[in-house]
Amino acid sequence: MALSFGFYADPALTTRLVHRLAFVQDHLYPTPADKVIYFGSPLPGRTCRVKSSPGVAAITISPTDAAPAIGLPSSTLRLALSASGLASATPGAALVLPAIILSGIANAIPIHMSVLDSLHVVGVYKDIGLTTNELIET
Amino acid sequence: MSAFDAAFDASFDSGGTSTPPPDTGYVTLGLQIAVINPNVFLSAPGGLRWVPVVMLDGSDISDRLSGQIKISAAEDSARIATLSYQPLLASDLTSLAGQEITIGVSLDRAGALAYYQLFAGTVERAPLDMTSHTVTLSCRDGYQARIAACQSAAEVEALFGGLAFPAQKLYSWNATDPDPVSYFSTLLDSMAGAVSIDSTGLWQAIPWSIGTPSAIFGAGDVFDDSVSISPTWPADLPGTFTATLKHRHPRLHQIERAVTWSRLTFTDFVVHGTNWATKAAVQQALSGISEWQVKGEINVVSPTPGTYPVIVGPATITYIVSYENAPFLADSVNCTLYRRWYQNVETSYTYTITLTGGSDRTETINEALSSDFDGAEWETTPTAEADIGIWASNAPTVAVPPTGYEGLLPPHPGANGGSDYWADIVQADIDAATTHMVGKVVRKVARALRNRTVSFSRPIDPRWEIGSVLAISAQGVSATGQVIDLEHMLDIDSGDTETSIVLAVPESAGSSTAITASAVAPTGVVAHIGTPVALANHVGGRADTPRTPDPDTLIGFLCNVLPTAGSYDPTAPTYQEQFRVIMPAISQSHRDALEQAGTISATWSIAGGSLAITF
Repeated sequence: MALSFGFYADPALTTRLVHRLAFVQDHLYPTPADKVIYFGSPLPGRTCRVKSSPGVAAITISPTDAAPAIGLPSSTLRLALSASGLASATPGAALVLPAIILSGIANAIPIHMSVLDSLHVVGVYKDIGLTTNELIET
Repeated sequence: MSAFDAAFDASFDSGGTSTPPPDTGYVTLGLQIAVINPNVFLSAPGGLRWVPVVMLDGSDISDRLSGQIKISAAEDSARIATLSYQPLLASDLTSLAGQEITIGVSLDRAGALAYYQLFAGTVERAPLDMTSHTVTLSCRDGYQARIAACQSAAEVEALFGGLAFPAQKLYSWNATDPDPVSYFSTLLDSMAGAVSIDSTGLWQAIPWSIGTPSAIFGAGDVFDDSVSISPTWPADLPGTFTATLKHRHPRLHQIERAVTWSRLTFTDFVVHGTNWATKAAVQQALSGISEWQVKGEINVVSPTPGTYPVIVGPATITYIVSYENAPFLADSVNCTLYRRWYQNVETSYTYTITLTGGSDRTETINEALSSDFDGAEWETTPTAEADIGIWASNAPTVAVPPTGYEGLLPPHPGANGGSDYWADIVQADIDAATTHMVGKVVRKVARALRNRTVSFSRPIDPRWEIGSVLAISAQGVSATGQVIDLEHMLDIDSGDTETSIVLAVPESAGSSTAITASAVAPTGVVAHIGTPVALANHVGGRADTPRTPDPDTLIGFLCNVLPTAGSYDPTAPTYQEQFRVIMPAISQSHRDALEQAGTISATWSIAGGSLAITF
């Protein structure tokens, strides 16, 4: 069965993001494009942990780069748990979440994302993404 | 289990319940980052080339589109898209409804390239034109579905990003029969902003705030004759907005009165032949007063048995109180009677906003909440002082001496006082209700002011979302405002594109829309004077017996002289012998329903735009 934990488009966790999340950057004078998505599960009574070390290892959300040699680098993306945290977030660094995340709206975690292009080459890039470590949901 | 071998664990029990295996996997999300050349939006000579990019259920259907693509968005409503395409197979038609769809556009102006996503949602309807084999897709962004999917008040409230003002005591979430759409609508009425789903499918709570514009469009940036203004006419604008919150609650009162009485003199017994009051009569009279209760116990003192000298004229005679009779006679009484009652109170909090330049019309908002309290039960519940009255003397020492109010329902207003009681309502509830109500008023005012709009159209410009702040200086209109409505049109057959934008340009001094409010209730405290009640003795059939007494003053022991006594007056009124107690009445002002006014302290601002017209 698929995980009910996932990335959602709204804080009420009603709409799971199933399509690519679109950002736009000016090729010469890019400014950070910020968006907020939500990690969690709307189902009641579910718990999410890291599979390799449940309840001990922290759940992480990491930028991925499907084509490191081409396209945009993963450092294009900053992640933070708050809007104010984006400024000090390390580009391309993983976001560390708690080791145990409970389901429900009250436990939804806002994931603040900031995209800032450094390549300055016009194009539509789809090599960047997000992934968690392998999770186990009970 | 001990009867079985431990090796036969639950895994051998094929018929029993078992925990399903946990779900494992990775959670991923793909991003699409379009690096664009903004020169594509310059109004320079040269044509703008565009190509729609439409992904339907993961398949690119861009090369099968025809007709117009229209995408419209507005505050507090769904983003809607319509487009037409020719499916490859008839079987494609059966599963169109509900399929995920994204619409984007690639732009090219003289080598300056850009890609923007315009829409993310699902197909709602897909009627087929049999002549052309063209399907018209009507698509929505899931605005209503997201609201309807909420399963708790917190989920609904989260959609407003802190810009709305919940008031659970005013509009509570019904967990038994949840109605998220109604709850959402209630909160939206108090929101200092708008909600929408943006072009990437993310829910947005947008503050009504008008700061520095992100772009200024000149005459060369907009289509000829596309600029129009829609003013707010005074006749359409209420001049006064009044909101009233009524809180219905009880005021709880209590009054205590010390009651004392002493017997007639021995001379009265000897000379006038009057009777003693019996303890039973006294007890019965004091414990049976309507709406009054005895605090603790009635202390009726019996006379001390013995002989007592009574001077009658020149002689002294002896009056005997026998041991047999003394326990049944009342020598004096000392007790406290109390009464508790509730008064219905309606506290009104009113807030008014006056709009300069508005009409004489007044728009009103009325809200009400009631404290959940059974006043009737509270005031009539009898005491449960079972242990009072057991001990005649040397009562056991107890850690906490009885107050005399044991068994009464709380709260206890105090011996002689009254105070407003809110029961399940606390100050935070009143403040929340007040803020919600003021939020409603400010939103109504802001809505009215935001009806002043400027509209214009230009070649497709997907940079803007609902809430963007833009300025225009073209065709005699200079304005700065916030996008409240926009529509993109791409005509595949003609190659025309257009983005129509409506800016709200409210006439107001603020740069943001904000509300704070709190309420202060009247003190609601009253003091009662518990004047002691001294019961008297009233002797009838005597020359000094009042001929026309006020019956209400005849309280205490009513008795008569013996007809054989020298003081007997056959013309004087005689009484039916009794121990009579009438307690003072409660004044009307403390009993009748009461209306009182509280005060609201509020600050608010409404973001203003600018509009200037020149010929």
